Amino acid sequence: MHETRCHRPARPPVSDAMSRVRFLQFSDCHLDSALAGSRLGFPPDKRARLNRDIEAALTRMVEIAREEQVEVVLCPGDLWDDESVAFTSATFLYDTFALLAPVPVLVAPGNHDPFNAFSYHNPAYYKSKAGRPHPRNVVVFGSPRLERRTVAALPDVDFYGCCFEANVPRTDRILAGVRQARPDMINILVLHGSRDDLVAGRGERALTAPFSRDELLAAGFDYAALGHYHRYSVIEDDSGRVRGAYAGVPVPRGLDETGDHGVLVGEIAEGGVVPGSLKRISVSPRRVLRLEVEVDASLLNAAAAQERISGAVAAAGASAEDILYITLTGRTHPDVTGFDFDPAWLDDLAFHAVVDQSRVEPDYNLDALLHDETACKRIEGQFAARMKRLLDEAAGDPARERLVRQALHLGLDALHGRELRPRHVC
Amino acid sequence: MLIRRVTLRSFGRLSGTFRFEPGCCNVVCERNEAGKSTLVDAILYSFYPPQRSRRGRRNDLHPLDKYAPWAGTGSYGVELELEEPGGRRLLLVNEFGNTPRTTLTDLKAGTPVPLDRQSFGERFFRMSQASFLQCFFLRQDEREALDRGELVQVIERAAVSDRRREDAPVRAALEALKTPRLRYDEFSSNPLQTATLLSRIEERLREEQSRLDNLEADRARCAQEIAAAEGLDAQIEALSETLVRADYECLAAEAAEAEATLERHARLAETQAAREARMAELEPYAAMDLSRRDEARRLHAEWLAQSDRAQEARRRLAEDMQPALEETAGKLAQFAPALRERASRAAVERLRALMTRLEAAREEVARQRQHCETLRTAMAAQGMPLEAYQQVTQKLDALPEPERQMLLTYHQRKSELEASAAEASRRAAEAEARAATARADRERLQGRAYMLLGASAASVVGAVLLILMNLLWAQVVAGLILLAGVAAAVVGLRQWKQAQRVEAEQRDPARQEQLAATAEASRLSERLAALRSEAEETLQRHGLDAAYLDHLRDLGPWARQAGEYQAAKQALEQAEATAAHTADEAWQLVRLAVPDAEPQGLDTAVIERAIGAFEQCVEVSEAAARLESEASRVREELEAAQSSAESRRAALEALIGPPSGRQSLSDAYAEYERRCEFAAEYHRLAGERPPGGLSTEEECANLERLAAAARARMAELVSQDASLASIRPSAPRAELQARLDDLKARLHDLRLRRVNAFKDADQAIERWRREGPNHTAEIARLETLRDTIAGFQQAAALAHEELAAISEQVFSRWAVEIERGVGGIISQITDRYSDVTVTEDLDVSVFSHEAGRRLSSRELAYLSTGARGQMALALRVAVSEYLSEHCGLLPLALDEPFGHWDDERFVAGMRFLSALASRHQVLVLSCHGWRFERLVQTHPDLAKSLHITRLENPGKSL
Repeated sequence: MHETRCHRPARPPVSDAMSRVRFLQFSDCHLDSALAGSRLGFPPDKRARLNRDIEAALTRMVEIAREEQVEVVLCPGDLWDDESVAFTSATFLYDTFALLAPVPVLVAPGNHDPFNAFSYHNPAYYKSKAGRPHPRNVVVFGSPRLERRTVAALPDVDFYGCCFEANVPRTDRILAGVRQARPDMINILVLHGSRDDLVAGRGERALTAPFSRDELLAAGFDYAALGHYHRYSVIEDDSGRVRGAYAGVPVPRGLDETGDHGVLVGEIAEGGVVPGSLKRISVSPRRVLRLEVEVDASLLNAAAAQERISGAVAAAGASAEDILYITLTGRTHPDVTGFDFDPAWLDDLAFHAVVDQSRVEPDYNLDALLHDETACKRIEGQFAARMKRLLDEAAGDPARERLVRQALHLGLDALHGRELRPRHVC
Repeated sequence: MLIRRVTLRSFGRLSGTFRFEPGCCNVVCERNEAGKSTLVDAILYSFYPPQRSRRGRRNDLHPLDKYAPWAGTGSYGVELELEEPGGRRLLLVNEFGNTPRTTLTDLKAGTPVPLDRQSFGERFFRMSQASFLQCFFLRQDEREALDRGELVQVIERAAVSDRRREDAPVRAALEALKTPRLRYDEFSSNPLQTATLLSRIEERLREEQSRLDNLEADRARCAQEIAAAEGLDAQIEALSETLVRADYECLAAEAAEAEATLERHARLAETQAAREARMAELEPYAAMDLSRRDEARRLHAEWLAQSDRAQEARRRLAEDMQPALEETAGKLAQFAPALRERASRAAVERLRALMTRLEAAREEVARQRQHCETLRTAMAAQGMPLEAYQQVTQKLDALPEPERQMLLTYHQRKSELEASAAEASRRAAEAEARAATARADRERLQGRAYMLLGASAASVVGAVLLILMNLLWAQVVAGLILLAGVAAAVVGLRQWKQAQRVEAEQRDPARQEQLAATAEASRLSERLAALRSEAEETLQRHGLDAAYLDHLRDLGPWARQAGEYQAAKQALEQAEATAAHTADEAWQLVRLAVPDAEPQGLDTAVIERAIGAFEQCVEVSEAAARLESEASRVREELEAAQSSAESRRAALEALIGPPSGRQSLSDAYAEYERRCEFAAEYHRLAGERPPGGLSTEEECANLERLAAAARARMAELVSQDASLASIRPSAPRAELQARLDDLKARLHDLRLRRVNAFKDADQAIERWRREGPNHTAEIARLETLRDTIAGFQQAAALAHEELAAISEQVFSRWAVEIERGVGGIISQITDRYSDVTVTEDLDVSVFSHEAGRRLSSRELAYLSTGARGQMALALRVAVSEYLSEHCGLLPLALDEPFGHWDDERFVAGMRFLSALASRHQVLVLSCHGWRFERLVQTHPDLAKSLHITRLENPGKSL
């Protein structure tokens, strides 16, 4: 566990007389996500363990909330994946919210946990399933339009939020023309949406409920708890005060979720987050690491490759709890069409390890084929020359390059009577 | 392809078996016309059997005829034993002659090898005979005759043919890249082509997608159903509120009921205490026997009643009955005893009826008398001898009825009979007249007939006579007469018939009618006589004379009036008798009331007076009787009451004891009754139980707890909803409970509906959540796999395309190859020329060291024959070498290739061919045997690679 403080230039201290709200923010847990299509290819048992990680992170989040004496917990969406969420997971989440009582919890359902007739965010559905209502300290924004809610514990704070009703991208600009009912109070926005004027940090997330920095600042909220992007990022106004933040995923599981993750804790006052108060607190020891390991023709079998990979993993400082995506690069002996790694070795390497061999190429002596006079006259050489020319033509087009390279290797494999087969990630 | 053996059977002049040595240059040295070309042609025509349909020049011999057996006739053939580069041994047998036939057999397998309607050369060499001759079988006369055009085509075809790839690995590579196969056990246990694999992946994707779509559709449908189910929540909430209110009301009623019960219990407890105190007071009376109380009460009541009854009877007798009796008796004494005795209501009615009858009888008498008088007056006016009539009728009345009737109707019957008889006689007369008339007519007609017939006969006779005269005019006349006679006969016959008809139709019926009428008249006369006889007998029997009948006849018209008068007189007498009788009967009663009344003078006034007296007497008598009857009854009643009272008294005293001292029975009874009342009260109190069965403290405690619990629950409900406090029970608890139960049932139903609707929809959603990710993951996996395989397929196709293009280019550069080949061969044959170039048109140019320049293909034509022959040989051998790499190493036959070569070039050429023989089967035919003999001597090393033989010894291997 570690904390990451957001360092900002020194600003005039906020008066103690002004009201403040200590908050904890987390989102994008994606409980019970099937992780379909992920190149990490988690098997069911590891997906289950990842879910337990998230649950443990939530439990840790409760402890943090108590330690930090937060007054409100903000959850801007995607707490689970609705198409695969289990009853036990949803009820566990709400039971966790109940543990936070009397601290209010505000939830703005996102595109992956939309508010609809059969959503666990829907009080009626929840009650029907669980036999009891939502905890009293939980407020769920159940309207697709921005609405204002208050909580008795924080009479001087207005909370604004809205929900997704389905996993369909929203194109309406929610913050356009928004005005607060009580501008003199602390106004906090809980929103699941995409900042569309900043590409970095967006990762592979699709745009939905888009807004810009200017729109957010113009809306006049003192703070916006944002969800959807899986990486931590902040939105500052011209004076440098944090006016909004994406907490990112608390527990990483995807290839685009490398680096540190956790929950956000801070203090909101009029005009933004109190400088120096915003900090990220890790809730899970697990990391996603991407490594590249160079192979060459000297590696003639899986054992040799494993040894090299193990060394790279150790050098990267990966722990047994980490998730590793290892990309092999380089050229192997032409007779080595792929390494069949021992699954037990992969399990020992890390919590979950994947070796991508799609970029490994057979070590045909292309230089010789291209430059040796005799070889040039042979079909093999001429073939290599032609493919080299196609490669040059494909410069700048990565997909075409990959195709030509693959065609080159397949052709050479075929000319040498080797088995033709695609190279996979395993 | 190696030719191991050639067996000729009468092929031209050759027969026998000839074997070739592999790896050597086989040289056949024979003189001219020994059959060297025949041998070559035998091989050639085995590879390419000539077709008879092929056109040739008119004077040319067909190849098949050219090599027909010199000796003998019939078929001739060639048998080749061949060896393919792979080692397969084939036997090619050609039978020529009239029925050419070619067979190819795999010698090891023993099975035929199909030729697919092609010659062996076309099938296995894939070139025409001409091309084959151009390249592999170089005839002596065709050394320089190079058909470049066709040869270029052959070379081109060989270069681009898939089968003639110069490099087996390239072919395999192209094959592998063209249809790459991958094995994925989930789709097949065998490797599949990528297209098939992708198709199966797409199919699997569609299945998964379809399943996922179905789950999505179910989810969408269930979302609507859950939304609809949530619509029931409002109803459930409303019903729940109503239920709470009903529950509160029911609790209120329950509490009120419990409290009321407790209050009632308290009241009952008080009542119970009072009872017990009272019982203590009444203890002394507890032992009383109350079983006869009712009897005592009854006896006392009866005693009182009877006493009162007797008292009443006594009073009535004394005050009411007695005076009335005395008065009535006085009134009754005023009437006569007989009247008193007979006076009754019936007598009064009887007297009234008699009066009415008497009046009616007297009126009837008067009327009858008047009627009689009227009748008599009328008869007198009509002159009726009434006395005589009466006398007659008297006598007549004395007769028995049949005889009287007979006499009364005698004259009438007599008249009728006489009339009938007269009528019958008249009819008989008329009938007789008609009959006479008919007879006259008949006779008349018969007379005519006789006359005509006679005339006819006469005419006939006359005619005959005239005819006999034999005169013309006589015959004519005779004819006429005859005709007339015939006519007369005809008429006569007709007359006769008519007479017969008259007889039958007129005379005979008239006759019969006459007879009938006559008989009837006779019968009537007899009846009349009988009537007369009867009447006379009757008169005589009763002593009446015949005039009596006349009197009857005369008085007959007066019968009616006389009868009427007689009847009236009888009626009058009857009426008088009735009146007299009635008067007498009435007098019998009247004289009781009016003693001085006489029967004759009995009129209506007297009778009415009598009736009045009767009525009075009757009334008085009835009144007296009533009074007496009443008094008698009252007396009886008095006696009965007294008796009954006495008996009751005795029984009552026996029951309750005699009164004491001055105490009356009533007082004694009252005392008795009081004691019984106390005893009854005691027993009643002793038998009483509090109503409701509330008898234990436990039950009271339970009720108190129940009430307290209900109040507490009510308070709890009020704490949740203060508006409930104003609710008061509006009905009994049972009814409220029933309402509450109904509400609960309805709420349960609603909730059940909600739950079921929710459950069904939620099951589908849970299924979507449970199974959807699996399908999504599977789809993602399949898509990744598809992309990988599609990429692989694309890459393989690209590699194949490029590799094929290269192969095409390589093999299209055959000119370069051939150029290289030619250059190599030239360099082995001579050193005068070098740097050979060959164009794609097979134009050869060389650099002549002697000339110091390059000689074009046209300039080569000016070289010597030998030099040109060397160029041509080099070109052909280079072409054959090139083609051999495509179609296999074919045997090379050179017929006198070095004819114009000098010795040095000959040796070089043979050395070249010997070297070539290590790759090709080379067959050299030459007639210059001495050259080869010298070669053997001068170049023994070279000779080792030669296999020189002759054709003169058939059967000897070459």
